[in-house]
Amino acid sequence: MKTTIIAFAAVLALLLSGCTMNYYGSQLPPVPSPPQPPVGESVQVPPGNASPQPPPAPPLGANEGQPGASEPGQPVPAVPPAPAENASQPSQPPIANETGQPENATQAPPATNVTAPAANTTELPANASGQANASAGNNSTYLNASLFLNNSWWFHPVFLNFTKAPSVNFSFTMVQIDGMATTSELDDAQNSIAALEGTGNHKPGQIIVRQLLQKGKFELSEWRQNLVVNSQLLRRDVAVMLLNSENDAVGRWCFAHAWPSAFSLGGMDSQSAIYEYYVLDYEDGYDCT
Amino acid sequence: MRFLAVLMALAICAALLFATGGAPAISSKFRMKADGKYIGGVAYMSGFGDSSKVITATVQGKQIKSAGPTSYGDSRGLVVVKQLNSSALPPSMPSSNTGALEKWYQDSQAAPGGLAKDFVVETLDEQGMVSALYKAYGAVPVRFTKETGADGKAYNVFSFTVNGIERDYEVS
Repeated sequence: MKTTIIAFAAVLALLLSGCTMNYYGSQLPPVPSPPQPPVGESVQVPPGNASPQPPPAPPLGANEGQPGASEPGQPVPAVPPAPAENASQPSQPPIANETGQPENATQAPPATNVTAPAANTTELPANASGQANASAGNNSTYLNASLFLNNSWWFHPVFLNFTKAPSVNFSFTMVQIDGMATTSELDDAQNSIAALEGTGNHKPGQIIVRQLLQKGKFELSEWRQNLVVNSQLLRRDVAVMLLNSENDAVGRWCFAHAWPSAFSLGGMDSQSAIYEYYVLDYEDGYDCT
Repeated sequence: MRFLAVLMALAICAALLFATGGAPAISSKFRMKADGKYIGGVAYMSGFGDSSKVITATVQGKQIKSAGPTSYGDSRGLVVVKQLNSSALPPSMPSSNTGALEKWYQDSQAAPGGLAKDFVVETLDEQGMVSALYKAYGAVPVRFTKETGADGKAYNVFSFTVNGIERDYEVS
């Protein structure tokens, strides 16, 4: 009897600690929702973007961190849209309506059959506080970086749905990107590999890689910022090595023509290590062990 | 049986320790700077980032993904900052500029469309040296609440929308 009570208390305490692990997410204040259009009316997105645009980056080396670098209250100028890398891509990206279908899909060049943007398949989950993401209602063509916000992105159904363990028994991952000296790691590696195995070979998709934030380690960041700031979309091949506890390679996944579609700086507190997260979109992922 | 009970008790202790230890305290791993001044008492900052529009097209039977304009805005660039209330600051901590965020929020409430500013996040290594510097553009405080943390201390919690984030390679 006593043992049962103790066991019950232990389970309760563990559950409580689980809640605390998501402390920050669970304590989030409600996100103010953007104004919604009337029902039945498609969302009108201004060309390029529905939201304020990021400013053009100042020249690298500008003394931004110094006092006076910030100009309070200054309007943020727009950045030119990134040109499509492929010549057969439409010069203007399709704009999604509420149903997530591109409005100008019919205006695409004949050779290019524009389908629903891949990011549309990513339905935004409620975050840790149980509130639906404010941006889920519109503008859903954008891969939502707020999945990362508040460390609550693992509530994403993509990850929740994969409870099956990967067929390969590995302890670590090492992500190697063509032309980069530094390596990173696959985020949520077990679930990601299980998902890849479930998806099968030679499919387009996304992986999330993370890199411990360190001085001088900015190749990934540079790759992303080249796209955001300079509109240079540079595709690279990526390999993910699966390593066992003795650092022996036990598997390998290859991802062709990957590019960083999203970036997030991980949450920061007094205890945790700080990571940079990158979503890499690839055209062809396959087991290349 | 007794062994099992001891094991359970240990599990409870560990869980309770975990449960109470997750509360934020002033972080020595990063600091926040706005208007050229460091903001005192910042304990936690949520992750934030940006994403690009993904265009999927089928060209000659092959699916191609490409990039559209980068998007921030809406709630994507929402940053939550937890700051120890100045009343909860330990005496050893410098309390200068702790009211800057609250003042910014109040000014923003008064300004039509909010008051956008840039802020800087510096991450620090174990030696206390700056390991990386990020510039966040066009931040507008949209929400301010006061709450008591799991550690029993009073916190000011601010939510900002942010237009963009960029790492400064010159520094980091």
